[in-house]
Amino acid sequence: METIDLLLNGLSGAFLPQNLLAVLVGVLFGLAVGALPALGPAAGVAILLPAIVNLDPTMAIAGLAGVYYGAMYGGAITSILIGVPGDSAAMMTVLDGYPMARRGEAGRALGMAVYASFVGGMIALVLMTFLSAWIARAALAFGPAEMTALIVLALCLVTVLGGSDPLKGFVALGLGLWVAMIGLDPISGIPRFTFSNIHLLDGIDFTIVVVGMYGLGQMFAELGSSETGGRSTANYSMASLFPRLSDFLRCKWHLVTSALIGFFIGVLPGAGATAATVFAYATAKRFSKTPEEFGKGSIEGVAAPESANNAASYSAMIPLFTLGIPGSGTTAVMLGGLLMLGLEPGPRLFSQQPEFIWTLIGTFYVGNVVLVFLTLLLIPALAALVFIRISLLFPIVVAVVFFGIYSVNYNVADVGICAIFGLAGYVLTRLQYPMLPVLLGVILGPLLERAIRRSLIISDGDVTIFWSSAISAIVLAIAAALLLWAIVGPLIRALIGRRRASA
Amino acid sequence: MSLARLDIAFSILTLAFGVWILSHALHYGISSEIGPGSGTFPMIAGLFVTLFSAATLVRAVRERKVASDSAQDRVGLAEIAKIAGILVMIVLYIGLFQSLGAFLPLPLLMIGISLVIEWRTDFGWLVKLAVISVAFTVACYFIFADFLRVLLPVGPLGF
Repeated sequence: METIDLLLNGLSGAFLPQNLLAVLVGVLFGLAVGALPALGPAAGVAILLPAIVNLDPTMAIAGLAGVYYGAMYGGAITSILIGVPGDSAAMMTVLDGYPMARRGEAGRALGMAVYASFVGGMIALVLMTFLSAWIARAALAFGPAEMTALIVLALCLVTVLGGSDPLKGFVALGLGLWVAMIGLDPISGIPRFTFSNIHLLDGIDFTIVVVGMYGLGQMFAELGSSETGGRSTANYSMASLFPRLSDFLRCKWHLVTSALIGFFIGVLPGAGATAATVFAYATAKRFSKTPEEFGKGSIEGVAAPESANNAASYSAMIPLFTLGIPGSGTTAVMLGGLLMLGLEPGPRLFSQQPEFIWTLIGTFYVGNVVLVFLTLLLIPALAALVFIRISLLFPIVVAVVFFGIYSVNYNVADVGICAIFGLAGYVLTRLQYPMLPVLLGVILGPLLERAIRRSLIISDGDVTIFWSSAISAIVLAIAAALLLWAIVGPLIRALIGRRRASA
Repeated sequence: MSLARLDIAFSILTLAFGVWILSHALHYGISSEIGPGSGTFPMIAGLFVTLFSAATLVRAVRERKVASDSAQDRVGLAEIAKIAGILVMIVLYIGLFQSLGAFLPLPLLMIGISLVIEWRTDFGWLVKLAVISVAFTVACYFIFADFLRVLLPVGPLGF
């Protein structure tokens, strides 16, 4: 009951004009970002990040979160109408949404995508409302040793699960940890890797890294691919967008199970909405009465991934707010935003700033409802966005990035550093190194260093403190197993491959 | 250039970089009177980069022979030239930022980047580009300077 009271108070705060405006701007920007193949939700949040630093914290984070879950709605539009996924989380929607559009059922597919997104989002929000408070209460008992273990596990999970190549993932993690070490040692005060440059004594701001790598880096990587010229959109009518009862009845269980799959996968650091949609699609196909229709235009093939990706976008914020550990690239960027605003995400956020956190959750509910109407109204405009030439879009992105980064420290050198990270992001993307471990290394590296040093001070240098409690011992064991699997797994696979080849 | 070769080159680079990080970590000191020294975490970072770069390098060399030669697995000079061109534009803008202000050279930056990405010189396109660049510059002024009150450098024309 206490949770419901807190949520109702939060909802009343969410309806304040400034918060409604923030949600509206965020979801509109998110819809556009989701529809644009050249930008993903992480890039969208990264680009907006420097611009929100002077706003009220609730407005700022409500806006950023709006970009995230708005992008989940927007990604389906181009997937269905043009066959181009707006972001990676929408790629499964192409498999059935585009064939439906080609046979004249674009409206039906779009309507189901919006409806499934809403249902998946609502189920996830209800779970988030009750689980977040419980996780935050449990996490209050975590000491530095437990937090150390959790951060180590999160870094390992993200590195192993977050990309296709764990070896490259760990290289990326090491690079991120190194970037985090630049500046003054927080304990001894000696400068590390500053190259005698006073501008580097305070380290490199996380915003500069993330905007460079996600904002500019993704843009640079897009230059190598061909433009989407020459495609045409499928036709539909406004009336056809409204879901039919028969479709709802046929998909009802897929909507619920996909939302649950999306929720529990999305909450795992590194797994993300894309993995959730793949699992949800496979599960829906497995339990469908007509699995042969999947891939050829099944309404269930649209409902399942859309429900899952929206659920995952909300659940990815749970470890962020309750433990201070981001679950995805976008939430890693949002963590940067929270820190810039002077907020420290974690269990104490719930106890020390309940009004902020519950108003924020309230804005998620409002945003999820607003998105249904906005998306349906703006489908034609969003579909047209994909035809904006990158030679027009990218100069705008560069300009916004430039002003945004300059506004962080009013130092034009930061823009140059951002451009360098943009180049680094491009190189990593082209060579298939995942960027998320870099970002988590940058943002969690200092936290990890502080947590380890604090633990060792408490224990007078006794390292057994890290496995003295059951929680930290189990968590560290899982992290060690992941690390071992990342190293040994490729060797075993290579050995099996050679034996099969010689057989 | 093929991505397979670039992968090998990058692995060598990160391997050398990891060794460099380790050397600095030892210089900063691994232990201190109150626990880990300033070099402990750089050492962890350096070890990750060094060891996993070595593994990536070994694998990249072994897989080089079976790597495909398709267009998707190559980096073209055109792609590199576009990125270099955009970076040059950004550097030029940084150079003009303090002397001409934030907004005066902005349309030139946008037009320059657009032409680097897509070289089109037909009159209609150039007019469209100029109009969009100026309109966006005006929008940036109202959003950043007016609404968000970001203190941007002012040029000789007062904005």
